[in-house]
Amino acid sequence: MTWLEAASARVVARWTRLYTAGLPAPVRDRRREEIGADVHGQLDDARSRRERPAVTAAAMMSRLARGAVHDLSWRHEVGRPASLARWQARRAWGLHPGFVLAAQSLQGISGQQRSLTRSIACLWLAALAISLLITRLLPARTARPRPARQHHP
Amino acid sequence: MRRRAGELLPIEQAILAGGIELAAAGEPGFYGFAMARQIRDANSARQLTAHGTLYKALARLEQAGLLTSSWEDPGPAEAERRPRRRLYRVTPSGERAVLRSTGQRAGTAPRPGLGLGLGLA
Repeated sequence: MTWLEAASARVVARWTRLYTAGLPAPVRDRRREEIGADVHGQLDDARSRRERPAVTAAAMMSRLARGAVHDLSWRHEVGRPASLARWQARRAWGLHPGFVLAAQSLQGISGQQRSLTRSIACLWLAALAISLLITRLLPARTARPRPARQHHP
Repeated sequence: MRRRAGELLPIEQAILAGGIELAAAGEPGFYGFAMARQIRDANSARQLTAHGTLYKALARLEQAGLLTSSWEDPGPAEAERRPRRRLYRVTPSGERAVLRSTGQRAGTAPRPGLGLGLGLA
């Protein structure tokens, strides 16, 4: 492999790493491995046909450039459920201080004579447990694959 | 713009037709680059199908049940010192879909064994 071919292969690999970053590991790794095998196959094929390295490198960059829009739209489609789940998880964490404040307000209203420190610690732990539960449950519920847009027989 | 039910895009039709032709030639499954090469050769095109276009279409066809895929055994990849390949196969639904689509485009009833060389837009 010449430096030109190697550089093109590196650009394709970096682009693939970039647009798959942040996706669920199985989806991300599958796409990266598939592109890796594709690039290897293209280089192998070019070698067997004695193609000029500059032509192979240009063909590889052309494939990247022509498909970049589809790469991004694919990423948008497969990444949406995951980002929704992350957003809902963050929202659940955001609720956590709300639980604490609400619980403390209720305690203040009731006027009970318990140790303030111990009560706050208990309430904080309870609120943390609820938040963790919500954080664990929401992604599992929202990360289902969306139904296919196209209708095939 | 939404597609009509059962309608295949040219790239999807080319992939399914190419997969059928490769299977007929004795290749039990195909991977991405083999399909890009098959489409280029079948259409006498100068360029290989772009990565993004190809793999997005493969994912769409798999989701629709017209293709199945699995990783190849690690043995051949290790022996040939290359990355392992994701191998795709056309399902019976995929075969029916491409024959129906070819028939629709030609304006005639599909015939089994019909030449499936397809032009790409």
